[in-house]
Amino acid sequence: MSDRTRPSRPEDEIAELFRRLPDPSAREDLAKEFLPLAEYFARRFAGRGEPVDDLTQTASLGLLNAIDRFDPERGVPFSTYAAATIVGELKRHFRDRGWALRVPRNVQETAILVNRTVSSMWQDLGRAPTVAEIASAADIGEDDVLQALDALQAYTTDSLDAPTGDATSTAAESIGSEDRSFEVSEEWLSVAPALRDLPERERTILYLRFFEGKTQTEIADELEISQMHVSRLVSQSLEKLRKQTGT
Amino acid sequence: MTDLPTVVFVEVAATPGSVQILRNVVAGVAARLDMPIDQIEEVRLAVTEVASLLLDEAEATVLRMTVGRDAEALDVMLSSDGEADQWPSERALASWPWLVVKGLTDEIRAERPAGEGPSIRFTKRHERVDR
Repeated sequence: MSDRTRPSRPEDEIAELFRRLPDPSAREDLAKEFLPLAEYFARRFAGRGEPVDDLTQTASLGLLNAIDRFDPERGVPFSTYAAATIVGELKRHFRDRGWALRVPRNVQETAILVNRTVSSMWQDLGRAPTVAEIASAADIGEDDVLQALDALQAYTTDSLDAPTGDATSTAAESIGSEDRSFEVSEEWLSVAPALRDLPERERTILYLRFFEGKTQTEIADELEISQMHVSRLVSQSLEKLRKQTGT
Repeated sequence: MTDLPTVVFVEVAATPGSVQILRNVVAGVAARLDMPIDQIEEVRLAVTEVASLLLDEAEATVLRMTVGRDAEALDVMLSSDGEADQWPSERALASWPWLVVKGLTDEIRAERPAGEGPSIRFTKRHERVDR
């Protein structure tokens, strides 16, 4: 932990805030003061297939719980107590998402490696790599690659686009075309009413792909995002639709 | 069963869980064809949508999948053992999965081969990556 995770106010002011609890404004001030601590742990859990935003939110929830439950009388520093609560909340988040339970650890690690390899190769080659290419770049077997791709698919595709240090491009990509909207015909929506519940960007991509018959590359150009992103959003939104229609 | 030389034939119980098996089988064949992974993913999605369409259309106990391939294409046929009065039904042809598979593949046909229930066949061509 660095200095940046410590609150900016002096200790006695922090202690005073704790005394004022459950006053909502004191609670809010404490949450603000210790937010860097939550963010610190969120970052430590990044790169395991969950979006950083989700992790930060989960860590913040852990922080709020810690503030509510903290007992200054017990003599434990708040940051120590909060760290345990935040980490507990993050671990539960991973457990709830089924990642740790469904996918064995070695497969998780391979999956993360494959995911990174795919991202960089896709960018370098200007097209999706083949399984054999990924296998040789990551120095693992083709079956391992297939298994990893399957694990990545079984999990969620969107979260894997979360920047994990070096890959900041996807975060940038998602900002650029957020406002783009399309007149989606009623006729089309009637084919799959669940389309209405999809986020607008995913609905737009499905519309362009399956109603206007555009290719992934054309959609990528039109929305100014990478083709890899389009490919993943297509899989992800089809998956969501299937879950909603229960098939 | 398909026009291209058959490489795999699988029969699974007609449950959503076994669709995962079909997806993996087809992904394995596509990988050996040196398809780029985005196309492999499209084939997997197509198999999933086709299976859900077939299971939606008629009560079935098994799903059969035949995969044929040559150097340029993958030919996949899925059949259920269900009874359907009319195949393909108008409902099936206007359904969301049909629309999706049409978009994901190069060709899609509804068939009813002798001895099979409702069947759907699709072809996915790919440009081979030179290595």
